[in-house]
Amino acid sequence: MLKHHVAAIAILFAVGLSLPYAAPASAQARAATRGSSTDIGTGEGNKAYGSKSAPITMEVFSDYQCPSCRALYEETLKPLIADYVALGKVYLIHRDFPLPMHSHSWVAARYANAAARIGKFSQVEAALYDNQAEWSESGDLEKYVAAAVGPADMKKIDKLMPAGCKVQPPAPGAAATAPLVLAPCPLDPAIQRDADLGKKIPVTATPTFQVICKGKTTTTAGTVTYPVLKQYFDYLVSH
Amino acid sequence: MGATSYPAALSHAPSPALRWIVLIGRLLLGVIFLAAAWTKMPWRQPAVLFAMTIDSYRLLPFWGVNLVARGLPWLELAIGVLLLIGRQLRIVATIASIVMLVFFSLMVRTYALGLEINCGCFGPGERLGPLSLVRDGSLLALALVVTIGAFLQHRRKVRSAS
Repeated sequence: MLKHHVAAIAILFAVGLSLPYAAPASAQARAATRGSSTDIGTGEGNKAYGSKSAPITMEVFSDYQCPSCRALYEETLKPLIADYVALGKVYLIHRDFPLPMHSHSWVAARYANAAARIGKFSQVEAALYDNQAEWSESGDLEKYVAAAVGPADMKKIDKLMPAGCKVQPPAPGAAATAPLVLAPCPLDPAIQRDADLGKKIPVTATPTFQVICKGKTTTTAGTVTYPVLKQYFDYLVSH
Repeated sequence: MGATSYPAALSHAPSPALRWIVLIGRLLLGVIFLAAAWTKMPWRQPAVLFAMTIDSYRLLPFWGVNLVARGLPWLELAIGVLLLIGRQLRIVATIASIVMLVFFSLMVRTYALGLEINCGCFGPGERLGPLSLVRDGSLLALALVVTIGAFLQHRRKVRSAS
């Protein structure tokens, strides 16, 4: 009898392994369908990589100070940008979702948005993630942003970031520690818009990413490795 | 298996109550395994999408992720069907307990590491959090009750036969 049960389980397992990865489009649509939110605000700079006409759009909601977001960027998005984005297969959009628990995440997002307005988003994003451990500890973001863009572009970024932009806003519900005399940062509406988009999904943790292909959207939370993501993209394109 | 190999304290469980506990427990567990399997079947969720959820646990290599993504739904289906049939319950319930123990351990590890990912337990989009931990912990307890109950029932049967 033991042999029969083990054999039954083994047969079903083998059937599963031998089936193709196929799922009918209708079933896939049921998995998680949502409307696309791929519009990038005009005049706010481009926080996206690749061509809008790519068959797959990937929208990543992340926080520059979140270690898992760094892992996703370094291990998965970097090779993705060099490979599938460069080949025109994927349009990759960064969405800001700064979490209140991180002490410098809003300021980091402001630097990235300022860089986007002068066409230096990719350099600043890379600098922020590459040096995350250092600036998370010291709070000195400017050092790494300046090194990434050079003195001339840093002046332009500084112009876009008045004094109020370099102070982290207080977390919701927390007592304000920043001087209230500072003017609100003009970059915040773009960040807030991204965060509001995320809340509609709803994004509750970072990183969370949406993959949009042929009108269907799937949402995944956490970090995935590049081979597994690539395999999913290949499946989407071929079905 | 000799009757003397069981702890004496466990041999005095009331038989009719035990029978009901094991029956309800195995049926409940069987249905839950079937439901979990159904949400992961290739026609409900492509294995490559389920593979992303498994990968986010950051535990297995690429080939291991794919093996689990393609094999796990069928393993759950087999366990669910065999629990509902109820034959050789000691073996099937033990396998179910081991599977639940593995699931629960991985979930606790992931939660303790602070990785905020989807659970993947009953289809896409379910966040791994305190609620899913309590649910899977309860299912592990249920699987253990059914397993222990199945062994006790078998022991009583052997004793009455001898």
